[in-house]
Amino acid sequence: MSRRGVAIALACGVAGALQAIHSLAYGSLDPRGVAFGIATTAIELVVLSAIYDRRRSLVALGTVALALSVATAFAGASLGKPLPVGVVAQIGLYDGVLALGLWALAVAMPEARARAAELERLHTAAELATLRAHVQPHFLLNTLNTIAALTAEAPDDARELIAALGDLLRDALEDQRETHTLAAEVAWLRRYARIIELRHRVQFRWDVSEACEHVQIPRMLLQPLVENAVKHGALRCRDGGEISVHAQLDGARKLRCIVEDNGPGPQAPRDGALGLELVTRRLALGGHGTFRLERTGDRTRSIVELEAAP
Amino acid sequence: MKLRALVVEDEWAARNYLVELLEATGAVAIAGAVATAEDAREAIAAIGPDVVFVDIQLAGGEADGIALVRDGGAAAYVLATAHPQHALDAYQLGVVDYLMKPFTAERVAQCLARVRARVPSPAVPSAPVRVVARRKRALVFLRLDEVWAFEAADRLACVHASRGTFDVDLSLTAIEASFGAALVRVHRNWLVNVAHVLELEGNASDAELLVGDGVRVPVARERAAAVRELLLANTAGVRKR
Repeated sequence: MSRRGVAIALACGVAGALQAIHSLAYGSLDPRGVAFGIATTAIELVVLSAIYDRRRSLVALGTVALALSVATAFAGASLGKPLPVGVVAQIGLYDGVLALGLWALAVAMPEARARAAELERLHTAAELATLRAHVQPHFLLNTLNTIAALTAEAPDDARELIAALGDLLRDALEDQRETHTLAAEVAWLRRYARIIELRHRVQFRWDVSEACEHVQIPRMLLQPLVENAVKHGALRCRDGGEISVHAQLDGARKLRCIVEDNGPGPQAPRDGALGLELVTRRLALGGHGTFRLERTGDRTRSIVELEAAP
Repeated sequence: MKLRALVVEDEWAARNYLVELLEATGAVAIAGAVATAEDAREAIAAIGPDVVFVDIQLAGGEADGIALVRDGGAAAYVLATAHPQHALDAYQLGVVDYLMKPFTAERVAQCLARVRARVPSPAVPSAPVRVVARRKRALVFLRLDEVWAFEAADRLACVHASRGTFDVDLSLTAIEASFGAALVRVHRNWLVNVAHVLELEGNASDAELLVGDGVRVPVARERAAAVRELLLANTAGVRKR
């Protein structure tokens, strides 16, 4: 069961227990009992809606349950067979709790489980993409070929390439946590970028503000953006491609990362689109960020904005 | 008779490397080396090479190399690539061989043997090999006797000639390998066509050549004596020191 599912079940349990105590303590006719019951439901709603990020479906359901209990009380009274108001209110409140419990079991928990599974799947896909980027046969073999080519003409560059490739391979073998700091992400990207610079006529610029280096971001979130800017942007520039990577804090809570290239701009759907789709999905499921691709003047910009944990 | 080859490879280092390996076999004359499928089409139409060595995945494209082979125009094609993922396509298109990366002299030699078996005698009797250069998006073909000098520029080179200055998608080392005999390396960054040297100025520590119509070429200190020697060979009038 997911953490949210447990929280929902617990909240329902606590609300039910409070109402049971209230029934025993005050009896059903006591107006204080009704007030207590209503207050309990209100707390229930606040807690649950906070847990579920103010999900409208849950608030609506709670409101309906509350309205139902009040309406039943008045309806009962007006039909001439008045049930004690407190009893009716309690029936309504128990209904509400029951409905919330059922909602949690039938809707929220399966949904949460599906989201968790989807996140897991995407995490695996991202891991695979990362691994492929490091040791993708094409990338590896082409880089080895470049090293062979440079040994005579530019031995220092050849040594640098070997070191960068070695670092990437080592990184691929190390732990694969879901998040790491922006500083770690940028360090990885710089090695990847150096290999690209040595192989092609592409230049990278880095503008990463120190203030955001500690921010935790999903691992390899920016890699597909850089790969896309290389493949479909900078490499299409005849006279040398340029890519710049910016990262800064916008206010205290928002991290903005921009990968910009001077290529001829986005074209028809292509395999790079898969990488960008992955970024969008990871951010959406994490629930704390957005991604967009825009064209301004002769530059293409991939922009990721995400909440920086305090 | 040497095979006239065109090399199509988007990575500058890999392109130079393949040109050097092909030249080293002594069986091939490099007719051109370009970076994009677009340039390759133009060069094939202009040169009509015996064999084209083409990278499948050219910069920016997905499988531009395959499309280039499909368009035809040359007698034989060799796919130079890291991974034979398009093997079926390629053999259906009649590609002679795969040249796997990383390249080695041995692989290149084996590959050329297969090309030889397929293209027994070059289609065109060896016409003088021309230099393929670029001005922006247009390709320019120069005869070697038009060329004054090659200058290293941002990993690749540019060529100074009577018709102007153009970019060349090869390094000086690869150019030297292709046109070795006619050109002299006078500086780390300069190859000069001896036939167009007009003046040798200065002494050994800051010698300079005037080449063609006013191109000034520095001569490296350690090469100055040899360059002077070479220029004075087959001349009369200046006493050798």
